[in-house]
Amino acid sequence: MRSFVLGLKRSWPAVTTVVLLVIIWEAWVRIFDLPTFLVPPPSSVFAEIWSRPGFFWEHLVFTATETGLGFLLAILIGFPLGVLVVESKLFVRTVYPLIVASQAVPKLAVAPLFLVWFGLGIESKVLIAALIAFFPILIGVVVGLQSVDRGSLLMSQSIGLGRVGTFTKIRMPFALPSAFGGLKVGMTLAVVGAVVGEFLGSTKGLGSLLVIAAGTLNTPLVFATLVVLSVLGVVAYWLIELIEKWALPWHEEKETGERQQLEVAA
Amino acid sequence: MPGDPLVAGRLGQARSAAAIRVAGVSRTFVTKTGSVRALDEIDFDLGEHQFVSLLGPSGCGKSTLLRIIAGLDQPSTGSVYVQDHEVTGAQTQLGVVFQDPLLLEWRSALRNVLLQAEARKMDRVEAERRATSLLRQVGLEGSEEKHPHQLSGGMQQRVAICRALLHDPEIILMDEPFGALDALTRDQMGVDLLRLWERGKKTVFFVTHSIAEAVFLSDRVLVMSPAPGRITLDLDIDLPRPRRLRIRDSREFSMYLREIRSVLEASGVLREDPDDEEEAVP
Repeated sequence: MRSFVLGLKRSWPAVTTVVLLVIIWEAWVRIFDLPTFLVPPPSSVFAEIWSRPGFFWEHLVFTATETGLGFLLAILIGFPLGVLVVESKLFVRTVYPLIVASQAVPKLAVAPLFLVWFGLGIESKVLIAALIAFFPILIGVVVGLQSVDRGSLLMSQSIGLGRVGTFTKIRMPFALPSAFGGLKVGMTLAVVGAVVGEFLGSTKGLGSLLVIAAGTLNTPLVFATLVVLSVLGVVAYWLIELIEKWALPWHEEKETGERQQLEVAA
Repeated sequence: MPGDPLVAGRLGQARSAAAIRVAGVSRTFVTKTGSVRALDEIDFDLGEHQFVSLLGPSGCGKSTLLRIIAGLDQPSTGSVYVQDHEVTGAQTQLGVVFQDPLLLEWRSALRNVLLQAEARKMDRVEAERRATSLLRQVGLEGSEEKHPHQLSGGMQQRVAICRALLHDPEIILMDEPFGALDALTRDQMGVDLLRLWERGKKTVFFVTHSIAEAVFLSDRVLVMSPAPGRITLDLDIDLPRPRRLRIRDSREFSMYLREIRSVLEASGVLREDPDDEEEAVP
């Protein structure tokens, strides 16, 4: 409860800014009488969503499913690879350079190939989302595992914790804050992957809706879809933050303590 | 009362059995700019049940020597024996306390102590009972569930000491454990450490750069020269036990300080190392 009030206190400047921008946008469109197919007023955008919520919900669920599955797949790939990079010298010398080099290839440019290989269904979108989301997750895990301080490892050695114990009880918890950083970036990229996949060929989802709406100059629908899409992105990001707070309570407490000190100092 | 027959008798007996034997240990570090000799032909035996301090200026290699004894670093030449077994790997039967508490911030004080139990698969219930009792003995009753960031530096180091003692080691190595604490906390930690030690009389090898701390705590003080580290003085401290802080005002205490200081001055430490300025005043 206290954290909720605190969150509200902290977020009201952002909420006010958004509300102000929407009002300015509405006024601008009305004063200069801009045609709706160029820039629709926010009122008509919200009216569009309001008129058929079930329709948007259906497409939202489809895109959210692709994003979620793609993200999970990205974790399943990125996490073990990150561990391998840190633990295995052989892996660093053989496979890791290929992974890094592959990041230079614009991944979205490869996306059409995925449609050729895996069809127009959900599979190709999940794979595209996973493809662009796994790398930041991998890097987050690698940076985290390498950030473990030497003293703690020496202590672990002195009490005889062993390689597995050291990994699970010391190195992994040490790596988690950085790993969560990677997860947050990965999550936003997974949304991008799913939408781009839908651009290229799909009958459902917010991405395909965008293509159809723009093709028919139905600009209010474009904007309405964009609003729904941003809600998806924000909620997905916020979910990761929620899990992070639950998984790393000590991290949160420490940071809140420091932040409060800073606020007092300011 | 130096020369107390009881104390002398116990020491004399203890000397015959070596808990730790350091034989001709040298350590050379190879760096980009060349090799640095940190330890030079160190030789000494540590008797059982003795509290021995290794005293020297910062960077003289005393921490390196401690790590070599603990099996966490290898000597370039020479060997170390712990309870008559040559050290070849990490000596996990010892209790090691480092300069930093090295607590895991996601674990409570109690669970940090229990890390030791998890490492050696001790019985959970028994370990928890012992950990709670140890925390009580160092004055942390009621703080068992606190996390490290809620504890002061001194309290964190107390938790680290409990962790090192949980498996009841025969030999305890301490690497400047109070070095990061303020002077008052440091004195209190010393007093508390002695009280804890009086109960079990384990062998303690205590690395420090404070002359007063070394004399106050120890049965014997080894003084090391600046790098390359050599033992320049091996001094028995015949002060009565249990020791109280006021013993530091005694004439005998000052005499020990003076003797050690003169050796350090002879090796150029007290004039050249500004870090140790505070110890110029006993």
